[in-house]
Amino acid sequence: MTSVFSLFLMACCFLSGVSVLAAPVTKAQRDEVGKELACLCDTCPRRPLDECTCGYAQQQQARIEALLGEGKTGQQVIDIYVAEFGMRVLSKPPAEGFNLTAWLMPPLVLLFGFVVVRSVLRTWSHSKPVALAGGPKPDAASDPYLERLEQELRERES
Amino acid sequence: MLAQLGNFVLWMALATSAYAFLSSILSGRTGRMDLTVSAERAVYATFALCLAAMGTLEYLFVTDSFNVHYVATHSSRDLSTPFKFTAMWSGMQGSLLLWAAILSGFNFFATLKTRHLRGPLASYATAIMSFTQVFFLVLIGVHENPFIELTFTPADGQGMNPLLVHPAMAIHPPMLYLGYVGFIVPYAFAMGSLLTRQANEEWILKTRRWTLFPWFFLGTGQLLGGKWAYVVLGWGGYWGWDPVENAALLPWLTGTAFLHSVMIQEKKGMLKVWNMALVILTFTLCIYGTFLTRSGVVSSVHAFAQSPIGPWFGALVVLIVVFSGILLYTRLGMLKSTTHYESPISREGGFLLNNVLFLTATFAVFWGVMFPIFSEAITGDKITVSAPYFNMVMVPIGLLLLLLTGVGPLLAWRKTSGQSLKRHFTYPASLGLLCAIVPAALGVRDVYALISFAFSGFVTGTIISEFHRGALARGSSSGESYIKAVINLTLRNKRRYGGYVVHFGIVLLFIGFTGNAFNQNIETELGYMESATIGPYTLTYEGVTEEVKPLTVDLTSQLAVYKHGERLGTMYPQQKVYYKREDQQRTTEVSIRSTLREDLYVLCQGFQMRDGKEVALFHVYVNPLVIWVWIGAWVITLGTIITMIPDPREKARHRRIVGMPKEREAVA
Repeated sequence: MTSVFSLFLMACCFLSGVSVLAAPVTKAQRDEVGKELACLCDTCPRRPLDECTCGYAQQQQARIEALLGEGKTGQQVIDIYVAEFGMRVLSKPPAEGFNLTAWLMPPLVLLFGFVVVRSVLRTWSHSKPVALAGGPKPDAASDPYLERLEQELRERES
Repeated sequence: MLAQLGNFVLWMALATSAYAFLSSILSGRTGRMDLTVSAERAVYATFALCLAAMGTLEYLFVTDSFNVHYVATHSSRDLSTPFKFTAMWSGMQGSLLLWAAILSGFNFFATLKTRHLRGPLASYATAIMSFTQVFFLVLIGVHENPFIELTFTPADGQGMNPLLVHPAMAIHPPMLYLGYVGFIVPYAFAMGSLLTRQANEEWILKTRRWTLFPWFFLGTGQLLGGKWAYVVLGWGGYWGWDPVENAALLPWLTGTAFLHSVMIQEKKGMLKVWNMALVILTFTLCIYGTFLTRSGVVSSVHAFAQSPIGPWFGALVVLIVVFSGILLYTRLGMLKSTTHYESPISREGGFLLNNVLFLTATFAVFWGVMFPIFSEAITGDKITVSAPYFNMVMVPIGLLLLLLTGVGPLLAWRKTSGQSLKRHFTYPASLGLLCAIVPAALGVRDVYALISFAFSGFVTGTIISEFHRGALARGSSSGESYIKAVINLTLRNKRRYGGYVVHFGIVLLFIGFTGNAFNQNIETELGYMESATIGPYTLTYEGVTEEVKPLTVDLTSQLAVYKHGERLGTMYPQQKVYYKREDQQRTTEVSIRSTLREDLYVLCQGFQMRDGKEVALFHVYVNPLVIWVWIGAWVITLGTIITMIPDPREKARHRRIVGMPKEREAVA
């Protein structure tokens, strides 16, 4: 009897557009979606919606909560925002197409830097010192006091 | 009348700086001492005139001279006198005048301090600084003149942007400008060195302090900006990766790389081309940063400073790159290294790696700032690159740099033996390991945070070890007590040990940054005597008071703070309503309870009715370890001061390296 009554209630709610199955949306659920979206108020530096505290961000946080409350998944909410505002509403570039270069370039530059340093070091190790007038003699800039200090350290540690 | 006087003084400054530029170029080419002296006097006059122009504008602000357009739009009668003073640089025209005045100051002091080294190099350096001075004064005179008068005198001004009415914001722009502008000195001397075909290290030795000074102010200026953002903007953070913040970070990164790599040139005569390239890049990025701030090419929180002068700065960036690039290319032959290197496991190798990481960090930030423009140009789609991108890309690079901060000082010049590595790394590495194991045992699972703690421990270990070894060696040879040996050790080599203090400050900064991994926040609506809990804290709302002030109505909420049942105190977050402004702008005054462990940070977002009763809306954050960022800034300040204390023995060493021609000594 109870289950029949429950089913009847659910059917009524479904017909009237009210969801009783959806649990209240938590702040953590809202922030999970909010961190993927940027605040587009143009007064804050496109801060992620989960962090931004401006009035516009608060409105959007409420909207995300409402959308999640309607039973939409996080990805569906993000898709709604992208359809409405374009790709700029995403807080970081999507890793696809040309935007993939946003992610790839920094590690590639680091790799390139390592390769250059390696080749420079090889060149240096094979080259002979060039004596130019005016250049510092090896270790000329060092402090005699420091040299003494280093010497004492070496003696202590040997 | 005073505005006209200010305008006249401005144009006079332009005339004297143009004369300084032309006469110093001629003196550089001909070596005529009378022209050199004349150019120097023109530099002094420019400084005095720029100060007079700035002083006039300040006077107009303080005396509420609203007949001047710039004063009328950036100040108001009810602003307190100190903020009327700082309102001078709260807009485009005044901030450019401040730029020009600081530039004239750098030119003045650099010329004054290097008078005893008169010669073509110094003359060309003066010419480059004076040319930049001319650029700024033309820009101010023609495009952004702060002395333009209105045809009527308004009863009151429009006032300063309320967000800028804060002590940190009063000193943040001047400090940043000291950094941005100051890098012109090493750049000008480097170019002077190339123009005069002097391949030695003279320009580096002359400008070491002139490099440290802007580096310090650029860094501190950014931290002050962070402090302002933390306290005023109320979003619980201090660094938002805003394009203009990034613009200031770029020259700081390359400047830091430069500060390290010049040591190789000074010590070993290597990396001459690289150092030239770095100083060119650093100064170019300083102007590029100004271009970004002023042009509006990227969306930024600093939009208040935008104007149509962006293309002028764009043109200056291109001019610097082309001029410096061609000059460097034509002088490549004379910039050969004078010594060679033996092993990658050496101080030289460490510095090179340091440079690669700093340059990669610079590129990553630059790429992130410019990527929306590139992406839109190529795909037609507008893209946002904000904090999540920068955090993902920069955190690993930052951690590698932190590790290197510890490794570098332990490496010997030329070559480091395996035995030496083992001996010097054992204790610091153990400390680093301990610093990761303890938080892991306490439940920390964030991998980056654990790595950061480990590296922070390791670097701290190396710094302690360096001081300890030095003090023991000094103590054994001089018989001094341990503490006295540490102090004397530092004072006898301020550069080396001051540098270690700066490194320790950087470690503290990283500890503060790491705290971000554990931030918590809640939003809550509280009625009278209702409570909310976050972490170990319980906050109880005890009501709100309203106070009408000359500029604002202050709504001050009162929150009792409890921890484990014990009342710790009361917090007073505020909402300020600028009721005299047409837009009724509201700002928030956060309330922060800071301890070494964490900040409890409370923001009142407003009030609303609930079931017929008024409730207050609060955003509450627990931000662990934030205070270490500010402590780190003070430690860096201390370390920089130590490294900048003049050292007579250093001068003697410089004389040994570059020599001092007799005729120059005669002039001195």
